[in-house]
Formats: sequence, C-alpha cells, structure tokens
Amino acid sequence: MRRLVFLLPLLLAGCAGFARRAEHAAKITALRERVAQGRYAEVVAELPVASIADLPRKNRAEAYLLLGRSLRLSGEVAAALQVFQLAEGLYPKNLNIITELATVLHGTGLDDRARPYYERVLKIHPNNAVSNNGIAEIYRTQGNLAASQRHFERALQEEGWDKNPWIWLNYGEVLAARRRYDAGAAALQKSVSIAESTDSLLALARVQRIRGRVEDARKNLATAILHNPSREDAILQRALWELKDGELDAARASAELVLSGDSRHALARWIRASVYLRRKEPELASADLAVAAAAERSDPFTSKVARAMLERLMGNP
Amino acid sequence: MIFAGALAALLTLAAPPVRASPSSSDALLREHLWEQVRLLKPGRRPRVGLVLSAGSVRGLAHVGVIHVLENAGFPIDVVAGTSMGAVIGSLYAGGLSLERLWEIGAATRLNSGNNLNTIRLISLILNDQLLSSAPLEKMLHDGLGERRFDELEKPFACVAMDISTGEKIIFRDGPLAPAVRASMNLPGIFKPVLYRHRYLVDGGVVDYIPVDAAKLLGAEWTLASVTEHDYSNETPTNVLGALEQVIDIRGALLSRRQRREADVLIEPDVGSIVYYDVAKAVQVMERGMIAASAAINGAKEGLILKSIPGLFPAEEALP
Repeated sequence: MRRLVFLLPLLLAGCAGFARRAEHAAKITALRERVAQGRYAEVVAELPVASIADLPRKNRAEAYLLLGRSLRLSGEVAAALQVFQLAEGLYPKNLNIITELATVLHGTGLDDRARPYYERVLKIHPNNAVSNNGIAEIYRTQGNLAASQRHFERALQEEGWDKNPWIWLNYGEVLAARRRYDAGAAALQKSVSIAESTDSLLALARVQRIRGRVEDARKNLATAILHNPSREDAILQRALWELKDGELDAARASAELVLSGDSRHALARWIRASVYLRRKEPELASADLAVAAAAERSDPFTSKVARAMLERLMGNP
Repeated sequence: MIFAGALAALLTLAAPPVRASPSSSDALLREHLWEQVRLLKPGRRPRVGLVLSAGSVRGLAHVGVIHVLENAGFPIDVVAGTSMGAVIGSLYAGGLSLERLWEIGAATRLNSGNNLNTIRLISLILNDQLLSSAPLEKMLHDGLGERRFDELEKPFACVAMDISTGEKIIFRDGPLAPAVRASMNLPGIFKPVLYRHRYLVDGGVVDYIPVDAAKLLGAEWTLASVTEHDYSNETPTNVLGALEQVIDIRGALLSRRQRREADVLIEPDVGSIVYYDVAKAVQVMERGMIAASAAINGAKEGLILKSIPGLFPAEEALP
C-alpha cells in the first residue's frame, strides 16, 4: 500500500505526459488538416516558430514543415524561407524539409542555391517527384533542356503526378523547345485533356502551327481566348498569325480590339502598321509606327523595330 | 513522416508550379520575326559568325553555348575558334550532334589530345622536354574522320601563332587536324607544331577572340562566346599556372578590340576555373548554357534588327 502511494505521483505524471502527447498529436493532426484545406493563415497564427520547441521532439519536424508550407502557400515567402532554413539546420537529413527549402529557394529565383538541395534528395530518392519537377524547372531556366526533359519524365512516372496538367504543360514546352514537336504536342494535348487552361491551349496551338496543323492551332487559340478574353497576349498572337497568313482585315480587327482598351499599345500599333504597309498605305503605317516607336520604356524591342521600319519608310537605309 | 511526404506531394499537385507570366509584346514580336529571319534566304539577312574564344578547360563552356543556340534555331553560317574554341568549333562545324559534343566535353581528361603522363611530366620539369600535342590530331580524326576545311558542313577557321615571327596565322583551308592542333598548342608545355614551314603555337597568345577570322569567312554579324580567365584574383603557385596566366593576360589585352567588334558577347561564368580543372568539365558546359540562355533573347533581337532590310524591303511598302 505504501509502495502504491509512493508510485501514485509517478503514475499521475505519466498519465499527464501521455495526455499532453495525445494533445500535441491531435494539434498536429488538426493543423495538417487545415493545411490540406488551404486555411494557411490559421496555421500561421496557431503555430509561432517559438512554440515549436515546446512540442514533443517527434512532432517538431512536421510542425516546421506545416508552418513553412503555410507561409509559402500564403505568399509569405521570406518568412517561409527562414523557417525552412532553421528546420534544415535542425534536421539536415529530413528529405521533406530539404525539398521544401529547395522549392522556396527555386520559387524566389535562387536556383543556384536550390539545385544542390534537390540533388541531395535525388541522391537518396532518385524518383522523388517534387525534386525531379523542381530540378527540371531549374534546368529549363538554365537552358539544359535535355536534362530538364529527363527529370520531368521521372516526375511524371510517380503515381498521381501524371494527373498534373501543369507538369505536362511544362514538359510539353520543353519538348517543343527541343524541336520534338510531335512528342511536345502529345504532352500538351495531355495537359489540355486533364484541365484546359489558356496557357496550355496557347502552347498547344503554337506547336500545332509549327507542325502545319493550322486549323487545329486556330481552334485551340480561339478556345484559349474564350477561356480568358482579357488575355491580350492571346489576342495579339492571333493578330500576328492572321498577319502572317495574309488575312489583313482580320489582323487589323484583332489589333484594334487591343487598341480599343489601350490606344497606344505598341505591338497592336505595329501590327496595324504592318497591315497598312501591305496595303501600300505608308502614311497610315508611319503614324502607327511612330506611336509604337515611342514605347521605348515599356516595349523596347517593339519600339526599336518600329523605329527601324520608320527610318526605312522615310528613305534612310 | 510518410504522411508528411504524401502531403507534400498532394500540395505540390494542387498548386501550379512556377509559370512564366503571359508573353510580353516584345516576346511575341520577337518570336514572330525570329521565325521569319530564320527562313530568310542568304543575302537577305546578315551572314552570322560564331566565334569561340581560347580558354583551355574553360572553353568547354562553348559546348553549352552551342546547345542553346541550336535549340533556338540560331542560323550559324560560319565558325571561328582559337585553341579550345578551335577544337569545339571544328567538331561543331564538322556536323557532330549536340549529344556527341556533350559526351566529348564530359569525357575530357588532362591528357585528352596530348601525351601527358607522370613520366613525361617529370621529364618536362627535369629535362626541359616539351610534351607532344600529336594525339589531338587522332582525337579529331576519331571524331570527324580525316577531313579538310572545305569538307566541313560549315565554313570554319582557326588561329595559331608563328613562334618565330609572332604572326597570327588564320587557317581556313587544307587538312583540318594539324591546323586545329596548332591552334591548341600551349607554349611552354607542348612542342611547337611544324606545319606549312612554320613553327606554330597556341593562337590564344595573339587572337584570343577570333572575330577577325570569322569576318574573313564572310561573317557580317558575329556572336562571340568568351571564356576568359579571371586572373585578377589569382596568384599562380606553379610554373604552368604562371605561364597560363601570362598568356591569358596578354590574350585579354589583345582581345579588347575584338570584344568591341563582336555584335553579341556571351560570357559564361567560368573565370575562376583553372585551365587543368577537367573535373569541372560538365559544370563548365552547364555554365555555358546558363550564360547563353540569359543572352539568347538579346541575341535574337540583335539579329532581327540587323535583318530589318531583308524582312521589310522598303520598295515593297511604297505605292
């Protein structure tokens, strides 16, 4: 009996510890669910960095992950970077933390710093889809298209990842940039079939046009514009194709659609000037080119082209 | 942990990865006109020259530069190179595929193209006996066969120096291999090459960036890949390092005019790589890609602007 009395406080302390651990585990589960539901602000509010040290050791790494991820996904990239850098220092072997750190660095354009982290993960797990995708994007930016293609292919092999339209889109664009147009078109078609977006339709249309599938390209471009009628670049792309195909009325109409929103739009002016030039109306063309040439700051290249054409029209070589 | 991994995948799937913003007006016009420039018949656009500088291992960055130019469909009409630029340039002008060029670059060893081994290195130091660069000719024969300049797919020129007169010698005809070997024949390490009655050494001493050689081949617009050594932070610790640094300094000084004459300069970040650091070959090629990727749009725009007369003949626009 005396012994039991002696052990009781220990037993009670054990129960309290167990209850606290269960409470922490429940808290982490709840936070995990909130991240999955996109309620990032709540996670950030409930999980200050300083509070993580008070959690049981086994929950800390995941807590850093949830906090960093919530900060990243709610646009607080600098704070996310700090959290992941701290976490990487504490858990240098935690692949999820390394991957997240690499993703944040890559997202902020610090590709040279992101790449070694992705490579560290891939050394241990060559099929890690997040890292393969991240490093594929870095290689793409850096011009190493063959390596980019290879890593996109590895990422797409992972279960579930082949349902991601964005990866198919990026992969398709890399293939097209390598002049593997048929494979590129197939990948872009896949992206469109999973989820139509202006970007995927535009990219597909461009590749189809290169392959001479003019009607398919037009159809997809038209759908892209329908998807997002405010995307000026899609309308201007249509105008440029119409100009190239000699459909001068249509090209002018497309350019004027953009000019109706911004009467000094440099490229729209340039397109309309090109229509006038083809119709041998140099005075009208000169007026538009002069406006386009004035856009030195916003569109320096368009401005230079317009100026060079204007000079030729005025008789200077 | 497993759960966290699954969550990471789920979240990444849910959020779109990094995407470029909608194409800018400049990008749309650039790509529109670029397709037309590429299709212009010779004579309606400037003849484009690719110039590849000297730079030993650093010169492998040219491989990365060529990759980016080829992927962009850059119309390269003529090629000129010095030293490592001559080796890479000759293989490219000879029609080697990008993959093969990459393989050759990645497989570069300290004794690639020469007879360097431990015994010969000791002999070089103790007996003043220079090494031979003859194996470079075999390497070129293996890559391209025994070709002459006029049998290459693109006109090509390379530069060496006559060690007796200090003259710059530009080769653009005859057998390819001895000329390229002479161009990459580092003085002080390799024996001068006796060719066409001259004793020849590395062209990097007199023409580090051979823009003039490209112009001699008819280039009207030149794009130069320059892989100079950043000697400002380097204190050589051995004979060969000191020799290379002196050659680089002289080459850089002499190349100032050539730099100004190039229409576009691509300068990979390889200045800190020492000439014998072959372990960094792949890294050097990647740096070439990075620099070329950053410069490619500017290069396209430069060539488009230079091609305006061919793209928009004034007489066609006037009534």
